[in-house]
Amino acid sequence: MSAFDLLGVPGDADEATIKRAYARCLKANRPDDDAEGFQRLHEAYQQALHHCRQRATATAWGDPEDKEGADDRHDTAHAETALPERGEAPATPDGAHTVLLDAEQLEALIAGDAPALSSAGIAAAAAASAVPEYEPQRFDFDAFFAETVARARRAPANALAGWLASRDDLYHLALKQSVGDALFQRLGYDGVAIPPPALAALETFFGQQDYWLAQRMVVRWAIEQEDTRRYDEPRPLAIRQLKRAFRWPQALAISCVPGLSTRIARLSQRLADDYGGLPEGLDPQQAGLFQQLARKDYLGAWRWWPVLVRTVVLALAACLFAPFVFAQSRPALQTALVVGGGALAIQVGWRLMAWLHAISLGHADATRENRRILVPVWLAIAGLALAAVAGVGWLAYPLVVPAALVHWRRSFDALRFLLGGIAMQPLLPTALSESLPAGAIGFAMVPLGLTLFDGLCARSQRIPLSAAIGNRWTTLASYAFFLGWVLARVL
Amino acid sequence: MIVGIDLGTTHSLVGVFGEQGAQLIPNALGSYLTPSVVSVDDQDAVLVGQAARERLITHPQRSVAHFKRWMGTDRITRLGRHAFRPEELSALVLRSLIADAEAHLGRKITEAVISVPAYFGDAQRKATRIAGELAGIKVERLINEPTAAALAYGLQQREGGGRFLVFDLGGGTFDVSILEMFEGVMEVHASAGDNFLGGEDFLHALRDACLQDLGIAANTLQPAESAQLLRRLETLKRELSQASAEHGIEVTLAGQARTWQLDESRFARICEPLVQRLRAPLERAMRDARLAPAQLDDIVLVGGASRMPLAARLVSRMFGRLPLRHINPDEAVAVGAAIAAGMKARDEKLEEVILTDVCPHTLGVGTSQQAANGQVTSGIFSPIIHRNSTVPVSRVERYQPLQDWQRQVEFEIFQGESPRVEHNVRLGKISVSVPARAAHENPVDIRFTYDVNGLLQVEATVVATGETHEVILEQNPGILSPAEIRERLAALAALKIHPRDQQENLSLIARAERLYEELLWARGDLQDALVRFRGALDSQDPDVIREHRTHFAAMLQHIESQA
Repeated sequence: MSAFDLLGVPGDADEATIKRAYARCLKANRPDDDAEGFQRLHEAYQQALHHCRQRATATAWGDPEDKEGADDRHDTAHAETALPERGEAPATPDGAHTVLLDAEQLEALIAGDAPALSSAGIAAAAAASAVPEYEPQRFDFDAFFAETVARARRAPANALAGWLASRDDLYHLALKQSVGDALFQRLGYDGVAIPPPALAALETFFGQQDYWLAQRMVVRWAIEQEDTRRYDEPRPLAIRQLKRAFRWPQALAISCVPGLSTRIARLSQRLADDYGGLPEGLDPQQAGLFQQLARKDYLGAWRWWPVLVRTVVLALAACLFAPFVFAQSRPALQTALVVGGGALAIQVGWRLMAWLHAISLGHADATRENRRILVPVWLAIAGLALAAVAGVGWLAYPLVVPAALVHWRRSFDALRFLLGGIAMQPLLPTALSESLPAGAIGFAMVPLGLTLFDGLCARSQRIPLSAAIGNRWTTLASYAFFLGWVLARVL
Repeated sequence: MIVGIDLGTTHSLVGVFGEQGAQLIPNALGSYLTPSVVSVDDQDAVLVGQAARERLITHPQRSVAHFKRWMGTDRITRLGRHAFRPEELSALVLRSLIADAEAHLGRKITEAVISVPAYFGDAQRKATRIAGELAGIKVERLINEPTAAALAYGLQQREGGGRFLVFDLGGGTFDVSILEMFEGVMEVHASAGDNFLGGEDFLHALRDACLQDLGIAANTLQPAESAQLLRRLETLKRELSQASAEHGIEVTLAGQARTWQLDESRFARICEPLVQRLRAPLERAMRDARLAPAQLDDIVLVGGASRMPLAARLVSRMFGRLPLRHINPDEAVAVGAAIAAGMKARDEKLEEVILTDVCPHTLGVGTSQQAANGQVTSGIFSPIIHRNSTVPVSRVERYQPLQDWQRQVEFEIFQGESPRVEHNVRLGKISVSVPARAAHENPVDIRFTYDVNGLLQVEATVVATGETHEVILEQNPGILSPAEIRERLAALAALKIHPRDQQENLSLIARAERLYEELLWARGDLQDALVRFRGALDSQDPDVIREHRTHFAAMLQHIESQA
C-alpha cells in the first residue's frame, strides 16, 4: 500500500490536502493507542510530503524539454538563493510575512509594552506609523572571506571563534546560512590553506561538517607550513623538494643522495592519498620522477644517471685523495679507475638485486607470483649450465650470486643450504666438478634448495608457493644439509 | 483525579483542566508559584516553599535549592539529620503541590503529568518519574516543557495553524522546540537545548562581576551574605528588565556595607558569553527541522528568565522579528501541563487535539569496526534512533559479533550526538547469549523502541535461533532500583513535614528572620514583632492568630519596602 493510499489522497494532492488527511487519520490512530500503526502512518505522511515537495520543485524548474525557459528559470532560482548583493537585504524565499523595524524602535518595543503586542498588532503599528524597514548591514562577502582567512592563519582558533561570535551581522540566521555555504564552497575550491583547528572552529560556528574538506585542509596546511611529521617525514627537505619547480640538475643532485628519493616518493604518495589527487602546491613532474625512482623494478634512463654521477664523483674523490692515502705512489688515474669501477659494479649489482627482489615477491596474481619466485631458480640453473658448458668456473658467479642474495632475508636457512651445497661438490661426477667451483654450487643451492622445499610444502598443504615461504619444513631440510656439511668436514 | 505539574528549577506550579479550561491552583500562601526549595528546621521537620526560600539566607546549611540540576545523578544533600537524593527533594516539592491541589479541589489526586525540559536525558526522566512515585502519585506521562508552552499558546488563539518556535529559558535549563500546528494536530519537528543554562547562570555571572568590581573573593563571604547578595542581584536583574536606567544594590559583604551600580548595557556585556551559548541550540533546532527563519510564523518566549531584554533582542537579531510573550512566561508551562493532563484524561473539549513529540537525543549502541587491513577500531557509536525522530518510534539494526565462536555479545547503549562513544552518555548495557558460530553467520538484531513517555525499551533477537530477549537495561548508578524506591518511600512517609495550614505562619516567621539578618536598623522592631507573633501562635486561638498574622505581614511588608 503506497503512502498516498494509506492517507487516502490522490497522488497529485497538494500539501494542505495531505496535512488534512494526516490529521484525520491521526485521530483514528492515536499514538497512545497504537504505536505501530502510528509509526506506519507517520512514515507515509513524511513520504507523501516529500513527493509533493519534490514535485513542486520540479514544476518550478519546468519541463526538461523546454531548454530556453530552463535558462530563465535557472537564473531566477539562482538569484534567489545567491548571496545578497551590496545594498540588498537577505532574500526571503517565499516573501513570507516578516515584520521588520528599525533598531531604535526595536529597542523601545522590547523595553516597553512588548508583552501586549501580538504580531498582528505590530504589523498594524508598523503600517500606521510608516516605520522604515530595518535593514541588516550590507554584506561584503569578499572582504569577510579575506578577513576570516587572515585571522584563521595568524590567530589561535578560539580567537577566531570569538570574533565570529561577536559579529552583529552574522546573528541573522538566513544570512549566516548563506554566508556559511558560500564560505565553505570557496574554501574547498580556492586552494586556500588555513590551520585545521581554525577550520574546525568555522565548522562549529556555521554548523557545517565536511570531513573531506577537513582532510584536504590538513594536507594543504602541512604543505604550506612544510611540517610533514604526521606523514612520517620529520625533515622538511622532502616537502621543499616537492614544492620546487622541476629542474633536472637539481633533481639529479637530490636523486644521488641514497634513500632520499624513496622518502620523497613515499611522502608524495601519502599526501596524494589523503588529498584525493596530487595537491596543488606540489610540482607534478617532481612527484612523478621520484615515484618512478622509488619503484625497484624501474630500470630506465633516470635510474642510471645518478649511478653515473656517483661513480664519477667517487672516482674523482679517489683521484684527489689517493696520493695522501696510499704509501707507494700509484697513478691517480689507476686508483680512480679501480674505485670508479668498483663503485659502478656495486651500484649496478645492488640495483639488479633490488630488481630481482621486487619481482620475486608478493604481487596480486598468484600464477605470475609463482613464476617470479622461480626466476632466481632459473638464474641459478643458468649460471651452473653456463659454467659447465663453457668450462670456466667463475662465469657462474655473476648469475648465482644475485640469485642467492635475493633470499638474504632467510639468511640462516640460506647459509645452511650454501654450506650444504659446498659439501655436495665432491659428490658430483668428475666432469662437472672440475668446471663448477664449490662456491658456485653453494650459491646455486640456496635458491634451488629453498624453492624446492617451499614447493613441496606448498603442494602438500595446497597453498600458493608465496604463502609457503618461511615454513618450517624448509628449515628442517636446511638443517639436514648443514648436517651433511658437518659430516663432510668431520669425515 | 489527574493534575499537571510544572516542576521547575526555581519555582513549581500545579494546575488542573476543568470546566473553564486549564486552571492553576494557588498554594497555601495564595500564590501560583511555589519556590522549589527544601529546608529543615531545628526539630528536623521539613519545610517546602516560600518559608524554605527565606531560610536559604538565614539557615543556608539547612536549606537547598536548584536540585533539578542534580536529577539523574546520585548527589546526596545533607540537611540536619537527613540525607536526601535529588529525587527525594523533588518528591517533597511534589507532595507540597499535591497537598495544595487536594485542598483546593477537595478530591484525592492519584496521577499527574509532569513537565521536564525537552533536552532531559533518559536518566533524568527516570528520576523525575521516581520522584513522582516517592510522592505517592502515578506519573505515566512526562511532557516536554516547550511543547507544554506551545499547548498553552495553541489552544488560546490559533485557528489557521502554523509553525512556531518556542524559546524556553527557565531558572536552570534552556530548551528550544520547533512545532507545527494544523487541524488540531500539534507536531514537534525538532528539539534542542542546554540543560545547564538558565536564569541562575546569568545571576552567577552578575555575582562574579560584582565581586570582581568590589575586589572581594567569593570564598571570604559567609554563606548568609552570599545568599543575600544573590537575592539582591535577583531583584536588580528584574529591575533592569523593566527599565533601562542605572540601578544599584546595597549589600553587606565581609562585614561591611557596599554598593554597586549597573546599567542595562553593562549587564548585556557581562552576560555576553551566556548569550552566545543560547545561539547554538537555536541554530541546531532550525537546521534539524530544515526550516528557514522566514518559514516560521511566530516565536514564543517562555520561562521567567526570558523576561530579560537580552532574550527578546537575541531572537529579533537572529530571526528578524519580535517574539510573542503575552502569556505569563512563568505560568505557560504549567498551563500546558494542565492541558496535557486533560488530554490524558480524555476530556471532551480536548478530543480534537493530538500531540506528537520527538526524542531529543540520538540513541544507539557502541560498536567496533574492522578495517580492510584487519585493524579494529572500537568505541564507534552506531545510532539506531536519530535525534528528532517523531515518537513513538521503533527501529531495528543488525549487528554481528566481532569474532567467531563467541558465546556472549555485549551491547552498551549510549545517548548523544558524537560519533565516538566516549563523548556520549552511557545508558546501560545488555548481554545476549548467542550460539557458538562463525561471526558472519551469527547476527543479532537490536530493536530500540522509544515510547511517548520517553521510555526506551530494548529488544535483542538472535537471528540464528530466532529467540527474542526483551532485555532490561542494567542499572545505572544514578537510578534507584525498585527495592530502593520502596525503602525511600517508607523513609519519606516517616518524615515530619509541617502541615499545610501552618505554611503561612511559618513563611512569615522565616521572612522576619531573614529581614533580621539583612537589615541592621530594623532589628529591634523585628525582634519585638516576632516575640508577639510567637506568643499569639502559642495561644492556639485561630482568630487571634489570624489578626496577628495580618498585622505582622503588613509590618514586614513595610520594613522590606524601606530596604
